[in-house]
Amino acid sequence: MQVAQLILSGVAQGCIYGLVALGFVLIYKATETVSFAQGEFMMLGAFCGLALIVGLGFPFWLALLGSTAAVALLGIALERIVIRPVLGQPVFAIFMLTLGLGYVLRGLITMVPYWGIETHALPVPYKGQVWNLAGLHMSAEQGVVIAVTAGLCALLYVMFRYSRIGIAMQAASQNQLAAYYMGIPVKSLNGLVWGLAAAVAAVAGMLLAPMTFIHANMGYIGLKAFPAAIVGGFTSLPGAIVGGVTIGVVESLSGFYLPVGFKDIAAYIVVLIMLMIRPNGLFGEKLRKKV
Amino acid sequence: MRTHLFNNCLSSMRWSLIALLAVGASMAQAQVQGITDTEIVIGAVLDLSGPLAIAGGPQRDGMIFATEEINNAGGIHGRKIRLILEDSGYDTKKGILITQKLLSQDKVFALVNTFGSAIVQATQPVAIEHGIPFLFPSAASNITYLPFHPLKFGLFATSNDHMRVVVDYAYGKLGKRRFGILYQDDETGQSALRAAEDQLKAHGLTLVERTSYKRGDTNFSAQVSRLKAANADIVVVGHSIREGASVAIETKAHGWPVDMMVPWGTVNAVITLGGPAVEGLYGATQFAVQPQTTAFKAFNERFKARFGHGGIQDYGTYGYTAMMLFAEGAKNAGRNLTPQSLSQGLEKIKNFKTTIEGPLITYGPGNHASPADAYIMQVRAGRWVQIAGPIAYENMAK
Repeated sequence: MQVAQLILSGVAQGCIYGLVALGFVLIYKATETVSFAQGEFMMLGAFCGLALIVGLGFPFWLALLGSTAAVALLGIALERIVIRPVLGQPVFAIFMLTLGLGYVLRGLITMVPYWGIETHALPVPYKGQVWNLAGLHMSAEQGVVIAVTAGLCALLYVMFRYSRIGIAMQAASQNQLAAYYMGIPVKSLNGLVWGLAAAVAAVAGMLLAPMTFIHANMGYIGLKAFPAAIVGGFTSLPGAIVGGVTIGVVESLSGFYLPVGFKDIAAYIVVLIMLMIRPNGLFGEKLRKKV
Repeated sequence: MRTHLFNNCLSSMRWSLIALLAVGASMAQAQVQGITDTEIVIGAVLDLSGPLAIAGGPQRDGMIFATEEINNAGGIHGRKIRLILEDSGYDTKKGILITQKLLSQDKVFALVNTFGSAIVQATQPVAIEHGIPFLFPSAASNITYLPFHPLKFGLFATSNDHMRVVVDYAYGKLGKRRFGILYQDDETGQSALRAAEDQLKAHGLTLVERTSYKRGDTNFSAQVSRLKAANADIVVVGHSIREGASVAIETKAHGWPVDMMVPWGTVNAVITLGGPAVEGLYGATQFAVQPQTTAFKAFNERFKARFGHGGIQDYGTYGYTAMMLFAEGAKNAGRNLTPQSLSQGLEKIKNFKTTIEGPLITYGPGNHASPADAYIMQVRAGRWVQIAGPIAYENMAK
């Protein structure tokens, strides 16, 4: 019973890691760069949602859509203005750039008077409710996280499988040059991928906010999502979610059963083990480039 | 040859003259750093944007309010205070850089109310080495006044003293016997853990469960599960403020309405963030913003008018009191204000209190220790209410 309870909490937390990791993987698949600004997109999504609900009086679900759209646009804009000019430079340069981008976004938020440096609670319609399922306690926040993650994954699956844009993204991620020759606008697609990754992060932010409050440093969770992406395999979208849930469950169980302090390092121990036995992650493909 | 020698001689004379003039000029200034004819420069290193900005914000307001009050009353012996506030973000590295900037660029006379044990530990030696008074840090560690140094003065109660009050109240008045603790895994949190263990030992008890979290952690589910499995009847949250609200919410989500005590977090933000989950939460503080004497009510109205939101709260009380203590010490020192005369001036302070309800503060030669009184608070009907105190640490069972 205790184990089931712990696994449930772990799955809920893991879904958040998985959503942020999904953004990492989306961007990596399309452009072979890692974006360390994902955590900050999540934070911005949460602040945007807060602004819409508290500032403009939007209902929660409308604010969710609104903040997702807004942050997606921001992602597209940032890709166009900041990242695209740097493509072609060494990989290290680009990921330092995204790291710096994260700092800048965090700094900008703290410059917003009064709002930026305070911690806020997000008013959600399901706040404080606790559901009782066959003896297991699940807070409504956790339930919504799991449900929305599942829904989002289904949506993304349908998009990648059946829509033109989704198929084009897959093609571009497999071989950019070939896709370009087939007439696929690879450059604009990259922008869209950034937008999509930012949108997913924004959703994660809104889901996380009722559980952890909204503040400028909430993006640090990106540090845990990176191991999740590695565990799942950096080239696999479902892997990102599975990786996230794995990390979440391991953390939850180790926090209860192992001595104090193990919870904080559990994610990294899992990553180390994974890198030793299966460097491509659970679902990653072994890629080789022939010159 | 002779011309060459003569020119050399003239040249060295010229340089000696210039050197003499420079020395003379600097002696004529005879400046103590941070003091001019018209102002005293004070520096403060607070957390204004990091994980403890929830305390830093009120602290800043308290310090500004006190500074304005002092300056509007004419300053100290004709000098106004210029307060320079800086943000450490609760990051020790940043704290050190900022302290160095305050010391060497802004040339402050004293550092007041630095926030955070980790930052105090790192920056206090730097200040003392420079001969700069390091006064009244908001840090629950006795490094604020020990080992003794003329330029160190404490104000914030140590973890041990504060925890003694809390444990004794929970043991004696609330009848708690199974204490669990959730502490932040850094210096401050570790000192809270040690304090809890020490004070429980005095009652012949041990902690039934101890759990930790890293600063910035968002998920307390596993920790709460452990505390629940250990059947704790009270959970002490050590040195966390925002996390107190999160843990309260988490315990309710687990269907476990256990009593909780936050010995260092009686700020209003905890109530705003925690909502109905924090109803009944216990807390402790050295300065209560109650009872509502007429003088305090007027004070609070002015405070509300100045800052546009609620009255003064925990941590603001420290900021305010720290500046008022400084002013008192500087007044005692007289017009010839130096770090040494300030130290002696502060040592003359006996039974000092501001409009805010709090311990009577007394210093003396060889005694720069933090005052030792606390109030027990509880969240009732969405407000922090004082339910016991002042309780003097001396009265505790040892």
